[in-house]
Amino acid sequence: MFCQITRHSVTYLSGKLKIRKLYIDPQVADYPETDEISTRMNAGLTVVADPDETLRDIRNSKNPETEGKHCLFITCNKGPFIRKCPGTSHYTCCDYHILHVGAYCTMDCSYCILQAYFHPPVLTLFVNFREMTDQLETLFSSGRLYRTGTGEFTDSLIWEPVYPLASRLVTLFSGRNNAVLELKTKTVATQGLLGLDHRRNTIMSWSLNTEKAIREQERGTASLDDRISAAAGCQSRGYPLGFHFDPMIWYPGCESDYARIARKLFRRIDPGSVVWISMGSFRFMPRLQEIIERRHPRSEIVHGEFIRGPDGKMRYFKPLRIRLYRALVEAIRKLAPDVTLYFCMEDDEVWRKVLGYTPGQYGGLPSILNASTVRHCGLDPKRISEFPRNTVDTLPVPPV
Amino acid sequence: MPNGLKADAREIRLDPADVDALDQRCRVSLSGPGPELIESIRGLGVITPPLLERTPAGFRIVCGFKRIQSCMQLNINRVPARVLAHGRVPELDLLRFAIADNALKGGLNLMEEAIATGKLMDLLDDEKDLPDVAAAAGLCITADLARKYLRLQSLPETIQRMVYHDTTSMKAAFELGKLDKQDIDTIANLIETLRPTASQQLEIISHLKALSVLRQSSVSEVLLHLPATSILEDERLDRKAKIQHLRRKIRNARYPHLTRFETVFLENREKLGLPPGLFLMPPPGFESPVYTFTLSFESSGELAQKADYLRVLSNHPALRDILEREVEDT
Ligand code: SF4
Repeated sequence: MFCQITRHSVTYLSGKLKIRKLYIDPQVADYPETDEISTRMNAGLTVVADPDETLRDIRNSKNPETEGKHCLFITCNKGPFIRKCPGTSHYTCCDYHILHVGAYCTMDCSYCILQAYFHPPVLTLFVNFREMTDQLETLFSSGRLYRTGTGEFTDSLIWEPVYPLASRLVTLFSGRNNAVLELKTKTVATQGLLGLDHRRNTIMSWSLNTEKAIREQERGTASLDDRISAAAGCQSRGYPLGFHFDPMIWYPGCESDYARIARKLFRRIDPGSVVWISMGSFRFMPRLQEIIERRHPRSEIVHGEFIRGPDGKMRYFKPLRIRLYRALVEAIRKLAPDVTLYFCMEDDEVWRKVLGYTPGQYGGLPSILNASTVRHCGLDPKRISEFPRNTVDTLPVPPV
Repeated sequence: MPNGLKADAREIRLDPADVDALDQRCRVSLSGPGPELIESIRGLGVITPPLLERTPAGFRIVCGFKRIQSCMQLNINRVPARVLAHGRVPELDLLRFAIADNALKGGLNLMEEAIATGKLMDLLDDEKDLPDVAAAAGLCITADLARKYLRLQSLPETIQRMVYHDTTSMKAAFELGKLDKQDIDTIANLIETLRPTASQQLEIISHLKALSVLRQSSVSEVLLHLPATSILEDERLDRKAKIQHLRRKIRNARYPHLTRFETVFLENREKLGLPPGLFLMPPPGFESPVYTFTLSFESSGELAQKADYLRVLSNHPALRDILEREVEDT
């Protein structure tokens, strides 16, 4: 178990991370959610009055990325809760929507982009649940299909033991015909979700990586076996599943290691319950390199055979990426030939050489993913603006 | 100019042996006197008297470390000097005067500016005053530069010495500073021997650092493995050729798949036998699938000829191999 609740406090067992400071925005001081969280957390915590001073201290510390993991800001999201995933130029994007419920993470992956994304990075939880609900209701009343998820600016399940936001979202999404929620995690904090009436509107997703990558790069996260067990548990409760091989990391022998994960996965998981499997190789903005080198001086991860892509990000030299993807795809296809596979931020050449087709041939990546969502989440295509004349059987399916 | 300095300085003649040469509080230049200065003092004596401050034990130098040192070397025992009374001029003003004196005489190098900045900051109550105080002493130091200078001063001595002698740039110095002492010494030695340009240094440092992490061995072991010694000791190669060979070896080790791929591309391009005026360029980093042909021509006849050539080329097996872009195992 990633997180254990003692009577008044939360102790993060993995990664030895402990929240030491709590800031409560006066604007949310009276919210029941704030009360709920602080009651569970504030024993042994310093409640700070001046957020600027705390942020300054974090910024000026030797290791702001670690300091930010010891400090939680409970506040409200003053901007939109739902944002279109920014994607990146020159590569195929999947038209995903981010549900911005909080920021940063208690786990500590060396490659985590959030370390460089927030200035300074600090754990943040938004508790203006009512406003989020209002914005979601507007989304639910539109005709198009929304694939949304909370796992972009944070991990979707880290706060479950103190603030069961994910559980509330599962209930909120349940039964909607034009929206699904993806909860993406590296934890196994699924206990509170298992008994919910989700009606297949929530896709439980895990990031998967090789045991070597998890051991060396994903500090404080659940092991591969535990992630797969948690996924199997959710499968048994009828949840549709998603898996993300992202970031895939190149090292000698990695191809067989990734293929081994596929075999391990499908020993426990029924391919029929998998909505999608994504793949993406490690890529990063150059400014992240400085952070990784400072925090993990002997980490090999930034010393791969990278080139600078047209979007300014460093990524593995393309023929290497293709080789890596092929190894995994070959293993997956042997065991789960019908599962929808896609790439996160790759171009047509990669698609063609690895999967044998380009998204454009099947209406584009959003359409491929929407079709898979409709099939697995039990949605009615006729009530979705994109597929007015389709039945489930006539939705676009790329070849195997 | 610091207040009262002119009024307080008295001209006297003194024996340099009475000067406490170990008091370096106002010293910002690291070099000793050059032969020109020594010869000039030998022939003409000290033209501009050093500025000293009287101390309970004798004198200390504010400006003129090299002049006093020259006099000592030349065994001159009566030297003209301007002397300030003990404690009359604030320490910060003395330092500013020393910096201005050095800045005016040919300027300070990067390392000396860093030392001057560090000393000024030690004396300031508020670091925000630094740019103004430094400007009054003839130095242009922004807050960002001050931070870099402080970082420079915290680097190991080997690196500071390289910056001082202009053997390396500040950027390369910082990169070097991230390594272990033993690796620093190895690379410093390499740089001092081959004197690569600043950008070549950065490339060498970053590749060697990466290789040492990837191979879990020291930089010396990485170099031994390449092997670099055969290049360094090859008497047929001049300095520039040695740098080129070494850089290629290091890059091949650092990017085994990519460099192999580049070699295969070059071999295939060679097989195409392109005529003069037709040139095939790969996409940067082989990321985009788009290759570029540059075609130059002088007449419509030549253009037609090359267009025909291109048509034939499109079926060439070497071009097919180039476009398939399969990566080989290394
Ligand atoms: S689990 Fe995700 S959000 Fe958390 S540290 Fe790792 S990469 Fe970042």
